[in-house]
Amino acid sequence: MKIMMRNVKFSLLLLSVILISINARASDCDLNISQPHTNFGTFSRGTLSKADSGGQSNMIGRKTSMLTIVCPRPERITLYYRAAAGSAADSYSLGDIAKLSLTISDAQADGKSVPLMYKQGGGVAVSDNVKELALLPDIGITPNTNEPVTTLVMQMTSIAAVNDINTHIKEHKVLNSIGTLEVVSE
Amino acid sequence: MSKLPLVITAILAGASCSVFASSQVQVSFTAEVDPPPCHILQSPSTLDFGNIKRNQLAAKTSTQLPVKSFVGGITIQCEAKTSIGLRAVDNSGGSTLAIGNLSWSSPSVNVTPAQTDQRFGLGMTSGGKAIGVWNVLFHSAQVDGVPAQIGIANNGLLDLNDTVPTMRNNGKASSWVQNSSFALGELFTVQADAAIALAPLEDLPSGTKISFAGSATLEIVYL
Repeated sequence: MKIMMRNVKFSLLLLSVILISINARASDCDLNISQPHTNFGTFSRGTLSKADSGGQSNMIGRKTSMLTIVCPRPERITLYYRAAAGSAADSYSLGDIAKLSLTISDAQADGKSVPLMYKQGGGVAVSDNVKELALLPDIGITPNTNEPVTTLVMQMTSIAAVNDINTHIKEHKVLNSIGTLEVVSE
Repeated sequence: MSKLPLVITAILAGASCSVFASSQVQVSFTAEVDPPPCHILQSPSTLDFGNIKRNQLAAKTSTQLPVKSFVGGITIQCEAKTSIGLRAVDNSGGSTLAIGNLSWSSPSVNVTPAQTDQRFGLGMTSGGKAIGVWNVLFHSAQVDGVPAQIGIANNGLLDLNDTVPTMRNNGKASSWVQNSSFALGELFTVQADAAIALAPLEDLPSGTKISFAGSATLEIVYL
């Protein structure tokens, strides 16, 4: 009888864990991006830009696309980007000689401009609310609002830059980077 | 008693998962890179060694003619900073004289018969014998106005053990070197001196005038 009681308690505990875990789950929201494939075109050392006002140097190019998330009901949603990290913590690899930086900005939740903040792991905000945030590996970005959201529209800016200006470019080379944008609901 | 809660748990979990829909989008990014275009501003012209009389040639050994310089040397302008080398292809088909040295005095360089990768041909006589051998020595190299050394690139890598600044016929490239690595720049200049040695008189046909010519095609390679 004593043993049976322990088993019941363990099962209830397991049930609780599972019920809690579904609070952060894959979303049933629709995620769309205006430009799923971004082509920065062909460059050589001579066409790389000098440092711009944001301090970005050796830039191959900058492209912008729109992200639209539409949920069937108001939800608290977080956007993640899953891809191989680059040489720096805030970038992703683009081939073997370049890096890719992604920035989320100009978020509009149900038609209203909203600030953004980071979410990580169990949902703890790790950054202040701002209009623009770098999309970091496995760190979520969410609108900093108390209200659940049905439609969230954001701008994603991608910047490609060469890691090292002194890289020897001997021949024509194609640089690729693939990742997955993911929406998680609470 | 203990099995019932576990069964319920499994059913609840399964039901919860089944309503989740995928909300992921794969995105991709592409860029293409090319080396910057390079343009030859000054290329070696034809060197004319004139008429050589038979009495100028040794009977049983090769005879080297006086070294001649290509006027103006070679100048290559690239549209952005890069590293380049010159790879030579012997247009004679390998008809090189297998005896006698090729020598330059400044800088002092000697190419022996055994160094076949540094010997270019001058064609064959009607009797099927090589007429001579030639090569070019590079010197006074500069990159963007700064002095450089000539190094040998083997499969794209600088061979620090090979510092002889001659042209090669085996795919190795003569390159501009600074600080023990390929120099990076936009304007590459180098001077080139040609040395020719002719076959022993006894191997050349008598009584007739022999015309001979040697040439090599230089290719710019990115390093």
